[in-house]
Amino acid sequence: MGAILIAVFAALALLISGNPWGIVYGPALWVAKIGQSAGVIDPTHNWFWSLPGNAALLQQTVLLDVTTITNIGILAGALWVSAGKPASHKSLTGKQWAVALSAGLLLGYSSRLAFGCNIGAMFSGISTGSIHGWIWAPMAFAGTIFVLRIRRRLGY
Amino acid sequence: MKTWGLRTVFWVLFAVFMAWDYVASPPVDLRRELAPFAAGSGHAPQGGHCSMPD
Repeated sequence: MGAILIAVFAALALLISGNPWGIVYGPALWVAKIGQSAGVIDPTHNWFWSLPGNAALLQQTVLLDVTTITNIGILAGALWVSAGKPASHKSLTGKQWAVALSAGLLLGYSSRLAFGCNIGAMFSGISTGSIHGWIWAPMAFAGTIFVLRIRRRLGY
Repeated sequence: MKTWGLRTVFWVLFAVFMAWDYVASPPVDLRRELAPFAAGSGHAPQGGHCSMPD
């Protein structure tokens, strides 16, 4: 049932917005806006952010970005689901925090380099007939074999 | 820090970012009406998605 709902909403997102469903573009845009405002990033000297479509999105509120809107929906949905579950009493150790934060940064950065995460590159890639998604999937699963072992070793 | 504390910090920071962004950005043109269905409207999307740009 969940898979069918995801497929229906992904198809609706493609139909209404004209873009396949994606995730990592949103956080990239948020950080780029903060970086631009702080003077850390000059979008005119950046290949990706100087492209006309991306440059235009940098100049307007993120609420006009489709990926941002769908990401807010994902975050709100995650909050809703987690609210119904009992909070974990097991705190993470300093090492687990460091590994988790590093892994998150690595995931975000590599997703952008791969032009999408499991949603934007794999799910949307395969569902829109791109070979990109078919290459992405076995690579991700190969990496998962190692990461699951690392995760078990660190006691998450 | 407890889970609820981390959740609260995240949502407060996120709300502050959204509010700052809305105030700092040019006002939204409410009269700019987009096609109800972008797919097939004749406008190729540029940016705002994960795939590699042209």
